[in-house]
Amino acid sequence: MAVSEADLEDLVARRDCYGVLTRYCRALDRCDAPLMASVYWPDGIDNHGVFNGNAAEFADYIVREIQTWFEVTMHAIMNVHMEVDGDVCVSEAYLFAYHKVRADKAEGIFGSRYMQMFDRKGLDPEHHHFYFGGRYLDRLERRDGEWRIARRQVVMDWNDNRPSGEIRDQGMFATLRPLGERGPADLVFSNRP
Amino acid sequence: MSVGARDRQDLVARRDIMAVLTRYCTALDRADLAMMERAYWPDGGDRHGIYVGDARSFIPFIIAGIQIWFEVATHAISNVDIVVDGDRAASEAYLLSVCRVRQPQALEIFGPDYLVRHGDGALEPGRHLFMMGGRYLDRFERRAGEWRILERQVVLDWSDNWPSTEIADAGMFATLRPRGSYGRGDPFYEFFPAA
Repeated sequence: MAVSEADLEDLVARRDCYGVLTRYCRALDRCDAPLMASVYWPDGIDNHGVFNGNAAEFADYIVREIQTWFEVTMHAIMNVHMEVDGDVCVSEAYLFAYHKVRADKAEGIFGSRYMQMFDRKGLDPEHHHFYFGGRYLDRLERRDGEWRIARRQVVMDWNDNRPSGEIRDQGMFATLRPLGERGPADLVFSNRP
Repeated sequence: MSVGARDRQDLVARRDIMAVLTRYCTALDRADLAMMERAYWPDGGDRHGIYVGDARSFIPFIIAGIQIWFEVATHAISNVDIVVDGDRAASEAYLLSVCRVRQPQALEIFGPDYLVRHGDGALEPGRHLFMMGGRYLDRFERRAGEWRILERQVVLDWSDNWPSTEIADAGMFATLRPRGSYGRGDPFYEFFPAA
C-alpha cells in the first residue's frame, strides 16, 4: 500500500516541528541567543510563568537570565504529541529538566524554608540542583514554508530540590571529558555530517 | 505541495539512525555484545572519556565494564537532532543515565570524597545511585544501505550521586516484577527473540 501524499506531508511537518522543539532546548542549554530567536515567530507569545509576553523579548530575556540563575541546565523533552492541520501544529512535549544552582543563589530560587532544611548538606557544598517535571504546550505555525512557535504555554507538574550530589573530578567522573559548554565551544556546534 | 524525494529519503534515514541510537542503549543496558557490534562500523571510533579509541576495542571493554560497574544500568535518550547529508549524518542525543552501584565499585566510580561523606549508608546497604546527564554526539555513515555509527563523542553535563533509597522487596515495589537484567533473561528478548 502506497503512502499517501497527505501522510508524507504530515511526517515532514512533524519532523520539522520536532526540530524546532529540540532547537529551543539546545538554545537554552547552550545559551545561544540567535538560535533562540529562530525558534519563535517575532509576534509570538510565551507564558513561562516567570515571563509572560512577546516571544522575541522572551528569547532575549531567557538566554540572559538563565546564565545568572543556573550554572548548568538540561532540558530533555519526551512524549511529543503533535496534531498537524495545514499550517498549524499543536503539540505537547513532556519536559524533564536539571538545573544546577550556586549556593549563593539558592535562597532566591528555593526560598528560606528549603535553606533551613538543606543548606550546605551536599556532596558539593557550593551547589544545589533541582529536577523539574512539566510540559511544553505549543502552537507552531508554518509561514513561507518555515515552522516556528507562535504560542508557548509552560506547565509545571512537579519539582524536586536538593543539595548537590555532583562529582566531577574524582572516580570515573574524572575521566568523563569534555564537559558541556555554554557558547560556541560546545562540541555540538562542530558536529557536522 | 508534494513531498520530494529528498524529504522522503531523509525521513527513512532518520528512522534508521534513531533505531541505531536506541540499539546502542539496549545493547549496553542488556550487556549484549553482538547487538552493540551492529551499532558501530568496524573501523569506527569512540571517545567516551573513560575510553578513547577504536570502536572495535571499545565494544568488549564497555560490555564487560558495565556489568562490573553497575548492578543495573539505564541509558535513556531524548532530544534527538539528526542532520542527514547523503550517506553521512550527524546527530546529537541528550542522555539521562540512571545506574545502581554496589559498594565494592563505589570507590572506582565515585572517588574517595564520596565514600568519606556517605560510607555505605543507604536504605539498601551497600547500594548507591548514579545519575548523569550528558549527550551523545555522533557521526553516522551509510554503507550498502545500512546506517551505523562511525564516530561517537560523549559529553558530560552533570551528575548526581547518593546512597540508594531503592526499595526492592517492600511495599508496592515488592509486586513490581519482573526486574530488568543483563543478558537474555531480560523480558526484552521474549518480545524480540531475533535480537
